Amino acid sequence: MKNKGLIIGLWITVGITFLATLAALVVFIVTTNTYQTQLENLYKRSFYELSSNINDLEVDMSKLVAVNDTTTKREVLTNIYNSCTMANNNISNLPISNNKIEKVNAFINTLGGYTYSLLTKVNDNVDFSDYDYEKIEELHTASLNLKAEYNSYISTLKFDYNIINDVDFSSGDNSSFNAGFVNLENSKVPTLIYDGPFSDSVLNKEVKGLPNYEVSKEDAEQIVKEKLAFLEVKNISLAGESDGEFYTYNFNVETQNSKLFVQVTKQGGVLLDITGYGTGGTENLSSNQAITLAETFATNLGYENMHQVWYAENKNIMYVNLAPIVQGVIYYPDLVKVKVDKTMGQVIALEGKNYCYNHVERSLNSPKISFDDAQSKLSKALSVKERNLTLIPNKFVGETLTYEFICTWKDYTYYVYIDVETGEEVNILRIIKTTSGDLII
Amino acid sequence: MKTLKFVCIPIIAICLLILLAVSHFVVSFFNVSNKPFLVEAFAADIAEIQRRLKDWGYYDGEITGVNDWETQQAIMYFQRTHGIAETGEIDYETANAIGVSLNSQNSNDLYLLAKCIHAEARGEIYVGKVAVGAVILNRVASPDFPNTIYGVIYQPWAFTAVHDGQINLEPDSEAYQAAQDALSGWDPTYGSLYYYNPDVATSSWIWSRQVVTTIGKHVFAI
Repeated sequence: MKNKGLIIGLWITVGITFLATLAALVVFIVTTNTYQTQLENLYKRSFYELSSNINDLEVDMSKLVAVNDTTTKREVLTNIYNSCTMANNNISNLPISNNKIEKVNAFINTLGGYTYSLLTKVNDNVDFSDYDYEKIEELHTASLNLKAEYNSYISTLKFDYNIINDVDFSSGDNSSFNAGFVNLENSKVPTLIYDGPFSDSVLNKEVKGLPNYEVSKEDAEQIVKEKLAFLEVKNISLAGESDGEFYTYNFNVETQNSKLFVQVTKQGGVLLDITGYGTGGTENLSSNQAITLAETFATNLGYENMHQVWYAENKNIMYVNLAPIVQGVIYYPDLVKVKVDKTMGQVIALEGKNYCYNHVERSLNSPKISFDDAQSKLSKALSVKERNLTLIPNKFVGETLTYEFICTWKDYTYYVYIDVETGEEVNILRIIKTTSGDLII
Repeated sequence: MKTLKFVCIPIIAICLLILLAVSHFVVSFFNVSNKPFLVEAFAADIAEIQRRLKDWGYYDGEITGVNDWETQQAIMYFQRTHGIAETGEIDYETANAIGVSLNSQNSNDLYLLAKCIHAEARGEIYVGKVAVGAVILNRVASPDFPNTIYGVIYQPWAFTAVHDGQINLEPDSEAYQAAQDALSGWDPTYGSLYYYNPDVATSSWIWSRQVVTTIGKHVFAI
């Protein structure tokens, strides 16, 4: 009797286990299927929307050659710009490795950037140059090729084609889905020079602010020892070299109470970049003391005439932006950033790339319009709190001498920049006040 | 008859173990977190929240910028009187009702960047973390990649730690500060667009890129 009970118990347990496992498996398969379908739908949407973006691009590029009316030009250019943005989004949603699609990405982004610069021309009532028309034609040809390649790729797919079946989810490089884009990657991007994002002149910036001689590794180490002596350097060791936008010797520097990564340029032996982590905590320095510390630190490293123009703070870590101020002119292109730990009472990082790129002796033209004339061009809603003469970097290339008006409207603070020659408003920034400093957008 | 016992009892035990495993699997597979979406509130935001709650009589403590127990009690009191779920946490609904903007756009970029840095480089020295953040931002500025921080980080297969879900770990304060440094313009890699660990990199393609520098375990390249 006892054994019979045991056998029944056995059967019941086995049965329940079997049913439970089966039920879990069924639910698992159904759910996985649902997920797969949803993922496939998202991929398909991007895949086919990309096709429509590429088709639109070609059509609008061809219109651009023909159109002459300003309003229509603006409309066509805006459409092209939007198609580029959407195409870029759709590409980044597709399950494809970037290295298999980067040329298409580059073509679409550069086209978008160039369109943006053409749009600026239309808005400024400047006619397209012969160069522009030549480039528009080249870009149209390229977009025509892209369209043909993409459409022919799509036409090879069967009606029940599923993208996810072609994707190797463990490694993007091995997916057969990539193969379809091989021909697209043959599309050529024409070289473009223009005042806009992704332009070659923006990507290949020239270094202007470094002294014209080279230093050795040993010299560089000596420079670090001397310049940072006041931090009581305990240990310094070479941590390799960098060969990028700048050529630098890199050092790990251990001071009395911090570990810094210091990069010194081969050209000129400038301490270009210091990186360090601040723990934060109780405040042992006032904000004014921290600013003075930052200014002195940058000046000691050879960055000249440095004054605080802006700062932000979080948990007693303070970011101070410094710019040279010479004869009443603020030079924003030569910005140097310094990070101060108010707990340690010490500078823990510095970033001098902008200065080293841009700092040169400049001869500025005297303003054609007066401060008051410029001020009269401001919106009547604003009340002016402060005004300065400033050199500002153009959005993409070059520099402009401007009047800076720091204004308020309600609780908001704005920085408005007026070109001293044309009187045009060239930029406007709004400040978001937080208790930890200002945030510029 | 004894043998029957010897057979039955282990089988029942194994079945029970399988049942336990299945139920555990079901729970973990279908467990969807319904925690409200939170953003990292900065000390400044918390201080502002404390100030307002104090003005309105919900809070008696000091303005410290620290989200401590007393502040949470005040937030719960505020939530209770405003018909908001009483969590004591600063979610969007609560912040909106108090009238404090959590700077969502910027703090979300910072938060996502910090998450990616934490997931990708949490074993690295500090400068190695800033470097990873800088690579992400260099990609945003490059025409060869998507044009937003979200686009770059969530691009398929771009980052191992995003692919395998480690991105969802909570970043530590080093990762936050490294993200803040990178957003403020620090780039110890001077324009690098790629990094890899030479000991484990499997893609043959990555070796063809021009190397800029090595920081910690990562090689940085353009």
